[in-house]
Parts: sequence; C-alpha cells; structure tokens
Amino acid sequence: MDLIAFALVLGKIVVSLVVLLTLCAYTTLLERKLVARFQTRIGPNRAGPKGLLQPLADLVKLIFKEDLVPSGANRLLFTMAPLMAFIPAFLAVAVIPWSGSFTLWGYQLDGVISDLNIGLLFILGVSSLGVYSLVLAGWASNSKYSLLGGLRSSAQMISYEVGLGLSLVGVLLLSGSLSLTEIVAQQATVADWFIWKQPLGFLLYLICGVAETNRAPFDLAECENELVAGYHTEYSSIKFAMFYVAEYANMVTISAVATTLFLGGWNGPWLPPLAWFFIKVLAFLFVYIWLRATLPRLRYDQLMKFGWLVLLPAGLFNVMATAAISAWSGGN
Amino acid sequence: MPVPASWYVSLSVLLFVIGTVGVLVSRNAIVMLMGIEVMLNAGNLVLVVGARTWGLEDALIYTFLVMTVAAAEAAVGLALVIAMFRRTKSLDLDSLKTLSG
Amino acid sequence: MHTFVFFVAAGMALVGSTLVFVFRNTVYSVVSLITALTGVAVLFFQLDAAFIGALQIILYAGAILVLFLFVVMLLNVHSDEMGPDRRKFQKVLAMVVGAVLFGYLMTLGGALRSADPPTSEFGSARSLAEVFFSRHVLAFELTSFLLLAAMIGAVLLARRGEGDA
Repeated sequence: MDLIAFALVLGKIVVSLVVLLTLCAYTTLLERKLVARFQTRIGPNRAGPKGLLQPLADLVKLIFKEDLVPSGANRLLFTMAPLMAFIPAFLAVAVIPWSGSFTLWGYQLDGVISDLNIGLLFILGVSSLGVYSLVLAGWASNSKYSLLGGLRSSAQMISYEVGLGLSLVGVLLLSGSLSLTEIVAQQATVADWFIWKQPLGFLLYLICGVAETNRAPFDLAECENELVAGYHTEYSSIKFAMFYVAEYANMVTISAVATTLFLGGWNGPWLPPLAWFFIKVLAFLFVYIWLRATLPRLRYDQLMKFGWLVLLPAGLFNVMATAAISAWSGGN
Repeated sequence: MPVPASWYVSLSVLLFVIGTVGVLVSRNAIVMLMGIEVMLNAGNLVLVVGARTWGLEDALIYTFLVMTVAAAEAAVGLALVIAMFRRTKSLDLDSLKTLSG
Repeated sequence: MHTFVFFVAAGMALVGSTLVFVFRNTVYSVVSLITALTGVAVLFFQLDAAFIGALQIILYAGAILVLFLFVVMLLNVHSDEMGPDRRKFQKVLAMVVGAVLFGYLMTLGGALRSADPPTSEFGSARSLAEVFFSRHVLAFELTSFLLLAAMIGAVLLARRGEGDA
C-alpha cells in the first residue's frame, strides 16, 4: 500500500476518533439538558454560552481530581479495566460506513475506514470484549459493592448479547451479506429500509442495545442509588472519565449500527450523506435519553427474566418468521 | 500464503506441547481446563492451515465444530469444578483422594 | 509486513499460553489466556479464514473465557491457597514428556506447502454456509443437541442439591 493511501487511511482514523470523542462529550451535555427539559427545568447553562462548554469543564474537573487506588486492590487490573472498556468502544467505529464514496482533493475515498466482509461479526466480537472491563473492574476494586455490581452488569451484558445477535440474524437473512457497506447499499430508498420489513427485529435490537450499554431502564447495576455505583464505585479522575466516555461511545456505536442496519445508513435526498448519518444517529441518541428520562428502572431479576424468557423467544420467532416469509416469497 | 506453512505448523506443535505440559504440571483445576483450551486451539490452527493449503472449506467447518465442542466441554468442566469445590472447599486436584486406598 | 504480523501474533500466543501456567493468581492466568487466544485469532485472519477468526473472538475471548472468569471470581480462590509443591520430579517428568512429544510431532506434517487462496470467496460466510448446510448438516444438528446437553448438564451439576449447604 503506497504512502498516499496509507496517509489517507490514517487521516480517516484520526478524524473518526476526534469526531467520536466530540460526539461523546456533547452527548453528555445533550443528555443533561434533555433530561432537565423532561423534568421541566433547564440544564447546565453557566459554562460558556448556553452551557456549550460544560463538557470541557467536566473534563478539566475530572482530570484534576485525586486518582485513588483502594488499598488491597489489584493495581494492574484496576488500571487495565478502563482501557478494556475504552478500546472496544472505539474499535467498533472502524467498520461503520458514515458516507458513500466521495472525492477529497482529487482522491477517491470510501466513507468507511475498513470495509470488512464480516463487518457485522466484527462489531459483535468487539462488543463482547467489552464485558471484561466490567468483570475485572468489579474484581480488582477489592470492594463488595464493586464485585457484586460488576458480576451483575456483566451477566446482564452477556445475556442481552444473545438477543442482540438474534435480532441481527433477521437483517442478515434479508440482505444476504455481513458487510455493512453492502447492507447500506441495499437500502437506497426509504421504501427499502429494513425497518419496514423487520419491525420486530428493530424493536428487539433497540431493547437489547439499551441493555448492552447498561443504560436506563436497565442500569440497575450502575445507577447512583443502587449498589453505590456498581463496578465503577472506586474509580476517580481519568479512569472514571474513561469508563464514562466508553459508555457514551458504546451508545453511539449501537445507534450507528442501528441506523446502518435498519434506517438505511447514510442514504437520503438533498443533504450530503454524512449529514443524514448524523441526523439518524442523533435521533437514536435522543431515543436513548428519552428512555432514561421516562421509564423506571427494572429490578435485576425482572431484567434477567425479560432477557431470557421474552426477548430470546421473540428473537427466535423473528428469525423463523423472516426465514419462512422470504423462502415463501421466492427469497434471495 | 503470507508465511511458509511449516512456521504455522511449528507454532501449533509448540502450543500443543505447552498445553500438554501445563495440564500435566498444574494442580489448579481451572488452570488445567485452560490448558485443554490451549491444546484445542493448537489443533484448530493446524486445521485452518490445512484448509488454506488445499482450499478445503470442510476443514474450516471442522474448526467451527471443534470450537463448539470446546465451549460445551468448558461449560461442563467448570460445572464439575464448582461441584468439586463445594465438596472439598479447595481447587487443588490432589484433594480428591477419598477413593485412594 | 506479513512476517511481522505473524511474529507478533505467534509471540502473543506462545507467551500468553506459557504465562497461563506460570502465574499463581488464577485471574492473571485467565487474562493471559485471553491474550493468547486473540493472537491465534489474528493468525486465523492472516490465513484468509476471516469468519473463523471472528468466531474465535466472539466464542472464545467473548464467551468461554468470561465463563472461566466468572467461575474464578465466584469461587473466590486466593492465590496462595495451594499447598507446597511436594513432587518436584512430576514437573521434570512433564518437561521430558513434552520434549518427546515435540520431537515426535515435528516429524509429522511434511505435506503442507504454501499456496494461494483458490477463490476470493474462500473462508467467507457464504461459502462456508454452502458447505455446512449441504455436506455437514448432520453435524450441525448434532451440535445443537450437544449444546443442549451441555447446558442441562452444567445447570444440574452446579446447582445446590438438597443435601448441600
């Protein structure tokens, strides 16, 4: 691979990382302001005009906090756990297509960093690596709240991974390919979007996605009034910031995959593809925040029952129905 | 092939031997189960190298089946370790000696 | 470039699998096994078996080793609970067996030679599915039985019976 192509890929990676980090930072602000509006108050509006510098203020505050490592904690794993949360969250962006082909300064570029032909499996694999951060953080903190919270969070994550995988099988049956750019290419018009053909699959994906990222209403293991703060009780300063950013990055990844699979990715009239992609991702982030502000939390046993006894059979039914209908109607 | 096939085979043999020696040496039941996983992966590596050399996708199917069997075996093995721990309160395999005369 | 990737991945696999048996702390052993199996997954990707490599990450690193980690944490074993090692000659004997096994196995496997991938679809999900569901569909059904049996067996073995505390 010659130097120019290498430099272009490197540029795409750097730009994607910067954009993702900024998006995570401003999602925290968006969440605080939206939740505030849902509760008929105004969110943060002091730092900068209309509160737009609030994420920067949060970052500076977190950096200057004291970095505690509890006594008796396993230092190596304690430090490694936030990294194991951060890295998979940002790795999944490598296969998501945020734009079609475009030319920049005379070079033809694809709007995706790496067009793997097993793109969907890559995302599943990378998100299953994120479970380790929860378990190791919980264990390494040498505290009973952290251990219990960590075990609960990770058990929840692996249970809902099954539902997530099953909801993706429906889309796979319709598109016939695991490559995300191929799936987007098949949804060129609004009538072709997979959400119309897979309503149950879409709903399942959304619910399992919210549960995967440990967000409300499935956030029993880490919310503030249960188990102190779960697996990240003992974390402070930069390490906590990494967990925090990793959670929002996971949210963005799930939203981006949802737009790619069900809402047609970057397809759309008049506006450039990148704008459509962001509009759709922001719509999903709004849904995430809306769910957090509105629904009450599920108790842990209700959560596990829901995942295994409702979502898993629903996912299986979805796969069977999709396979039957597509085989009956002449199929691909 | 990016690298000569014999390198992959040597690596696989080395991994298999490491796994075997580890299983023979370890006293912790969980570490012994992990040694078995290492041996299974060494076998998978040879299967994949063979698939690539002769263009046989059947060998890739066999690796998938080996992975599935390894998953089932790990689950049952860990359940056995839990049951053993409940009885002898220790993970040391030498503690299971109530049958010896 | 390929040689470099091979050496890095092979190094990860070898060092990781050796460290599994060297660490006294079982959690460290599991983490080294995760690194070792990720190294093997990289080798799978390098050998054009992308689907199998992805499955290696999802199944092994993402599920089986999480199960190992759960069991280690729930049993809460402290690292110095193993008694002193009374039989030194067992380790020496194991090394001798290992060396003999290594020598024997290296004499096998002579027919493998380097080759180019036969088609560009080799190892992709579509071609694997075509083979799997035509020639090996019986194996597919049997593995579903196997997994069901393993699930039931694991649940039965690990739950507390009536006589246990």
